[in-house]
Amino acid sequence: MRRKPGTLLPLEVSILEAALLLRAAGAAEFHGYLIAGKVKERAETKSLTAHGTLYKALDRMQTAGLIASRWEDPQVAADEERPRRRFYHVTASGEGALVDAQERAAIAKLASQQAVPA
Amino acid sequence: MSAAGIVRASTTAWVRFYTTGLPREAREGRRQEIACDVWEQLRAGDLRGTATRCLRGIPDDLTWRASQMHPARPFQRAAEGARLAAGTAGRWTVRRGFPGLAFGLAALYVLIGAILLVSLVGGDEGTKGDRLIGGIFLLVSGGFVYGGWELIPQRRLLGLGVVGIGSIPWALGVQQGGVLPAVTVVILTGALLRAWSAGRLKSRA
Repeated sequence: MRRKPGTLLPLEVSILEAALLLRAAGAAEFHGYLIAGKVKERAETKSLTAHGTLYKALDRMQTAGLIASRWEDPQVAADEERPRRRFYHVTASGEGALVDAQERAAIAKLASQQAVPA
Repeated sequence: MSAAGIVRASTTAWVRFYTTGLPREAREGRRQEIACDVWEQLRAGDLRGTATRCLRGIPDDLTWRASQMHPARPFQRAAEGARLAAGTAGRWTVRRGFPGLAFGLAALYVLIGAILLVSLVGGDEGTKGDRLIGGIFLLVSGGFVYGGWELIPQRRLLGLGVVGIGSIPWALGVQQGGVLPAVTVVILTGALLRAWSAGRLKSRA
């Protein structure tokens, strides 16, 4: 998908917003399934974001510096008998990009409301 | 094997398939992440959701894979372009509602058209002209149906008109068994519902 440089895709905005909500609730980091659930909850959709879509977006956001990741200690995962989690957190750059995206969306909405005849 | 086991095995097999041949870090990272996600979701008891998430993500899996490969190879670039187009069209259809309907119907048109065109090879000389025209007509009709469907949320009347152009001629021109006229009725009903839904969304916004 082609987009203007510096702009965020709707899914990226959703992920960042959901991540910051989780952080505010005490979860400084998130893994894929957790953020998918939060995005679904906020969007009030019936299903979680598809694997390919979600992890491609996370990969892209990490490359762009909006989020950063680390792998959890393998021993923790082994003790809990589950696959290892990859934890992400929003960077300062990601927060700034989200604020910019939200401001642009608000301006666009205001402009469209003003354009509607009374 | 249990149903959960089948879903886990199928998803794992698909991830292994499309990550094969990638650089180690990207390959193992993706496999681990999906395995973790699947484990979490199956633990939550969402069997159907796990399976559909895998299926719905296939176009993006393929474009992600293409992005991990050497950028200079023309085949990979072309394949990435084709997959991006197909994936974008599919995701758009699902997001807008009536999932798969337009895509399925347009694909049916295109498939039948392609079969007609392929059947030109070695076919009866007397019917080649009909098959050529029919094949091209179906391919174009499929494009109109899908394109009109895509246009409806932005331009309802224009979109409905384009869908009509793609589907009504079949109802008028082909009277065999009533199947094609029935398909036209289904397409137009779906398009009208879509336009109504788009109108409701706009009035709420």
